[in-house]
Amino acid sequence: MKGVAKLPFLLLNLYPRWWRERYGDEMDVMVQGLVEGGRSPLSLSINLFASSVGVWLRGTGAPATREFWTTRTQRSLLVSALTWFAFLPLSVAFGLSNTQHGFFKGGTRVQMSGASTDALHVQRILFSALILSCFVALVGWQILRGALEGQSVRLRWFHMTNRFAMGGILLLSAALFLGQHNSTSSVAETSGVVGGGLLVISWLSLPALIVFMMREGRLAADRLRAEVTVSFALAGLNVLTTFCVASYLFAISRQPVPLPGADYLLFRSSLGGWNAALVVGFVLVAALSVTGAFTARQSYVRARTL
Amino acid sequence: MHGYALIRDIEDISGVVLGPGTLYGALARLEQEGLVEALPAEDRRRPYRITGAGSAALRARLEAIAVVASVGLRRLGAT
Repeated sequence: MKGVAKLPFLLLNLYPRWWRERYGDEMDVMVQGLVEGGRSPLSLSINLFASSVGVWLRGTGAPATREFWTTRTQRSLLVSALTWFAFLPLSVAFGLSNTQHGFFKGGTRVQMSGASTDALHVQRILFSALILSCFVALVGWQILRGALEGQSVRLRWFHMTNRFAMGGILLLSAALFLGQHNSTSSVAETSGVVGGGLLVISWLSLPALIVFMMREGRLAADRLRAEVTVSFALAGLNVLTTFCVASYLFAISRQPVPLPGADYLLFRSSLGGWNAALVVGFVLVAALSVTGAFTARQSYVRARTL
Repeated sequence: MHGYALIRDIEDISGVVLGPGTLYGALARLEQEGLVEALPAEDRRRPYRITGAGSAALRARLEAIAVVASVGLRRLGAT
């Protein structure tokens, strides 16, 4: 058996372990029969791929034990939580690449086009959604920390990351303060660089830390429920942010070219064609976030019935 | 009847060509709900059998379809 004909057999490995242990052998025999009977390996592969995704998402055929479904809830929550860490760099890239351009003769109130006004409104909603998502993520983090505090999970790394983040924020605040009050610029710069570095270190280590904590610890039912609610709130905000980013980019693409000599205010993006990739990134991360939240809820509900 | 025979049978009866993932997804759900049961494997092939509850559920479904079909056919005849 060569090339494409092998593909359906390879795709059988995409199914979760519990599925392969129960149905793997008989599916292998069946696929062999279908390939030998002349069924297109490509259509079989598409069917197997789609079905394996469905099995992962729904947990079809999974063991009916509370232990399994609780672990699955925690893992789904983890997926949902980690998407937030991918969302913020995307938002920063979006924020840094978008600027305002204007021309003012002074004296008269500047007139904005309808598209620019829409872009401004969407930008405000976007900013509010991001702030709210930071707040919700913080609530989720506090619930997780509180849930694992009494367990044997080693929180040493967490405390260190927390100190790094707090130190980073303090140093950055000091840099901003010194910069505004014309103090020695080298002190402000050093403070800013060290503060930024500490924040980046804590930012990069936090996802790994959350994975570690969730793997070692076990969340009680009430905490799981609270985290499921948090993951739903985050997923909703991620979807709203994605919608706002797409709407904003659409609105700025419809801004009219200003008349020579007239007052104007325009929004521009320096990313050009890369904006499409940015939107795709937002959509993928939002989809992952929603999937994680729904799977977490479904698994939590199932665990409660067992 | 084992998986491969089921796919062939469904194709013969209804003309629907099922993929292996679709069939086993349905079998897993039916098994979970106690509507079918797996018998001991024979040479890596595992036969499945409909349970009492499965027969009752299937009968109810077929009767509901039959009612809809007969009403539909009667109304078609009346026009």
